Amino acid sequence: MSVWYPVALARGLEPSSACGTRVHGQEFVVWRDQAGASHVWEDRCPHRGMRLSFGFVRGFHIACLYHGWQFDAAGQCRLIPAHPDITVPKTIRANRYPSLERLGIIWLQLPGETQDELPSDANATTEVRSLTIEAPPDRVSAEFQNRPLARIRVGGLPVIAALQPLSNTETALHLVIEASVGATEQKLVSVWGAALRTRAEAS
Amino acid sequence: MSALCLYDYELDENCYKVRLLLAALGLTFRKIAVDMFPGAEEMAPSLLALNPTGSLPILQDDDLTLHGAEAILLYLAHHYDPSLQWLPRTPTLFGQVAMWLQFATVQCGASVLARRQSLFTAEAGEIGLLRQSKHALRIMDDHMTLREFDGDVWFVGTSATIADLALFPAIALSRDYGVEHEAYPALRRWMRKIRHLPGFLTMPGIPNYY
Repeated sequence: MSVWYPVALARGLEPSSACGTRVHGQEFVVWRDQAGASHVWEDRCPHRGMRLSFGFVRGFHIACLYHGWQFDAAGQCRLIPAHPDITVPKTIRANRYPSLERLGIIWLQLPGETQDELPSDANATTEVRSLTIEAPPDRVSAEFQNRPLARIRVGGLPVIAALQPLSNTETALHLVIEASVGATEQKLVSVWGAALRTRAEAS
Repeated sequence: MSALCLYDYELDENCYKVRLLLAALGLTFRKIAVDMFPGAEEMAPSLLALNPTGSLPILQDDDLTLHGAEAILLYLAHHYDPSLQWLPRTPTLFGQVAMWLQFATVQCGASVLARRQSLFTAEAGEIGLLRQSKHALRIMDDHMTLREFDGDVWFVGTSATIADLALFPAIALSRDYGVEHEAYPALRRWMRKIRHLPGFLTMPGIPNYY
């Protein structure tokens, strides 16, 4: 059985960039290659354990900041700059996880106690923002009738609220409008989310 | 031709702000290295004579001596940037740049102290300083989130200003004091834009590769 966790807004992660994130305290790197495909891996270089999210994306590889080891989309190490001429052993691999993009959000699949199905991508979406809330996931999900993925209305707009349990004390809230709208609507939902953040942190 | 002289410490983020602008403007200057840590040379009588507050950076331009990074940014932009890009003069933009410069001095001051504790003492940054630092970064991220909806990429106006340079170190060096970039997606994108500015320089803690 498996659970899907939202880890980033899709458009918020630019091509050739990487960022670090967490699910229940476990560290992941989310990165996008130059062609636009996104990847979610364990945030750890198999060489010295450095966080890959500190690294950099070159073409279709992510490179570790520490010694520049480069890994391809399959997680296979392809280049060790200190030994540029060797054929890198097949056993040197980064740890990948299943991920996909839907509803304007990048989702990571982890083993879990339930079997999740993500809703389909039927409608156009407008991404708003990801908020980090210094409050436990339970407290934040109470705002959404304890649902980790809620379809709600904000100012008359159809909004997807996806919760990411960063740790026992922090929660990320990813907000997407399920319609093709402009900056006015994005700002409205963004400010609404910031107010929810304030409320959740104060309670 | 004037003789610009910067009293500089490589690891100091306030000196870094000034180095960034000097580079962006393509100005040549003399750099005088001051041993802030462990030497505390900025507190030596000769440097206190230039800046009684005992801080860096200090800028000298012929007979003028200035201290305080934001003041120095204002002076350099006002005097050496004929394009007026770095310090716009239209009242609205000027006011907004001034507001964010003050924010960089006051609100981001906690991150300077937190980073100094983390780097130069045996202690981690105090919880109170970390909380203030994160609060400032959140205000910055909220601001840039709203800016992005309108297609804007800088803190003020349509091109980079000294406000962007003054605010950059608080987030770019936040890992030095134990704050990750995870919670600030709009600032992550803005930092990538800063890196593409003409003459952009790195410093220890801001890697060449990104």
